Amino acid sequence: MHPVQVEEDIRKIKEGDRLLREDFLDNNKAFIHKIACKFSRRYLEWGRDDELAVALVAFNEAIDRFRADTGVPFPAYARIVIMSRLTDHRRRENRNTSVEVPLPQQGEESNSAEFSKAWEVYLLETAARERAEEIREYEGLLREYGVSFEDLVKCSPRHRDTRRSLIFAAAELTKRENLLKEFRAKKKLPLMELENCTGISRKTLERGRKYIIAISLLISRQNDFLHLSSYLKLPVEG
Amino acid sequence: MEERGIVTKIKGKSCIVITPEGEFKKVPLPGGGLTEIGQEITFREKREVPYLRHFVLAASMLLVFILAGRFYSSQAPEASAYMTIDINPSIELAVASDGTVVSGSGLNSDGVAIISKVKVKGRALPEAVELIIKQAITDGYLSAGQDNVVLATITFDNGDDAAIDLESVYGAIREPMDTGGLDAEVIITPVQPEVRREALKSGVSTGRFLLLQKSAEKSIEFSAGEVGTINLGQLEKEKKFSIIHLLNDSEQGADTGSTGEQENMPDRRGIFVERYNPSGKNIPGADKKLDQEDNAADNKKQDKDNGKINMPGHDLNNGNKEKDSQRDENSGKSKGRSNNKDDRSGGDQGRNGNH
Repeated sequence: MHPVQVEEDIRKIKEGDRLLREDFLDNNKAFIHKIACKFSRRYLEWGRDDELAVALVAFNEAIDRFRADTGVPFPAYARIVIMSRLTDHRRRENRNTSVEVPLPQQGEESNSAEFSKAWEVYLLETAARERAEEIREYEGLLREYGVSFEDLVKCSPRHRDTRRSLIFAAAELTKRENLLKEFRAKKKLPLMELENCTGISRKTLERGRKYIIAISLLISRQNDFLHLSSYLKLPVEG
Repeated sequence: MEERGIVTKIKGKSCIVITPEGEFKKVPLPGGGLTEIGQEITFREKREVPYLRHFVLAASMLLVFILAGRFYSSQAPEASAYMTIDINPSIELAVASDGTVVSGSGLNSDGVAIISKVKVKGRALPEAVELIIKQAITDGYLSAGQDNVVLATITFDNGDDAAIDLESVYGAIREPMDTGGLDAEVIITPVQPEVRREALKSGVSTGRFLLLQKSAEKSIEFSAGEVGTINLGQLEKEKKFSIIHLLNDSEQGADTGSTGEQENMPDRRGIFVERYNPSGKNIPGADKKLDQEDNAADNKKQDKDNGKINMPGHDLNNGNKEKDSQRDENSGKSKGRSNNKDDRSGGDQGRNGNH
């Protein structure tokens, strides 16, 4: 999910591109599935488990509700909506309907500005909390590879072209299953192979080693780092 | 330029953000203290400032280098000795303690003309001297048909005389004249810094000033104007005196006090007086200069052996001085070196016997 492309798609869907909506839903089924599984803490199957249907409907709802100006990227936004709806669903299942759901039902927000406002506050707070969690998780992950944010400040390339080529190298790495495996196992960049498949000089790769590691991790675990990876203008995961 | 970024880490008063461009940056924490990890903040692009700082740093260092360079070339290495050369052109060379020429200047118009044609700065002193003498020959200040006199003075600041090797300087003066087949009188004499200062004040070279001083003592009259501009050879001829004797004489006059004192006197560095004749009539050993450390007794011995005027010539007969210079004048340049012995033997015959 490339953030710019996603937002463009959503705009078109909202304008009434039904075909694109179908495609978009289809393409994101894996994403929806993952969130639902995580929420339910068990493996779900399409057609068997209600949670998946609820999640899919919630995702579809998220498309309609999404507003770029909140600053929350769409994947993160969709996840919040899906989680909310799944929570609703669970409560209903448990016949514990005494607590009001903060997320207004579709179509209700127009006649309940107050509700809408509350939802937005909830959304932003949730998003902020998620981002913070994400960053902490990311930091921990980086530490496993011997990289700190301070290192990244020092070695993140100042020049846009250099940065782009390093990001390109990171994307190439995540595209290649074998390289990614090696990278994850050894926690070291396969510099030689990267040099061969990107054509970027070894010197540049070595200089940007930590940066490539950081970006590779972000790309390869995009679905875990929804906020961060959407925030960065990163290429699409292979 | 306003930039955005998500705060990934807060440390003290600064935080690390990740920008949409994928850059990690350390920026000052926005005021208010409410910034949390995960929050998106806007910050000013600070990139220009470090560049500016670098530029300022580079510029100021450049400035320092330029100033230091100027200072270095104009001030240091400081001259530890001065050498003047008088033919007609008068030239002064400032010499650093390592023996290289720091600067050269012409002390009269002919001297300026010569110094503008040769590059002496940074050269070793003998090399510089040789260039100057060559140029003087080229420009006709020294020529075969005339009485050539080269008077060189050396002034040591702080008594530091290690810088100048008199032997090689003498060689440097002689060498070009040798090749040109010139008959010349070469005199090198050390002078006191005070003399040089006074010479500077009166606007003539140290050598000419010395002549002026000595001639006053000997009541040979010539004006400062004459001393400043005239060719030394001509001067000698016109005024019927010998520069060698003039200088020698007063040195000797000062020396007649006590032998013990002489050794302690700074003047005892050794005066080097030489009459040079290229036609091979040199008395063997005549080129040797008086060693600076030689004591008076050694000097005397050498004087006898070489027939060369050495300082201190305290066994010279004062009464013969005036006569000697006259004779010198009449009988040609090559005789000067022998007068020490001659004086002792007391006559023309003895002098001529050397030739």
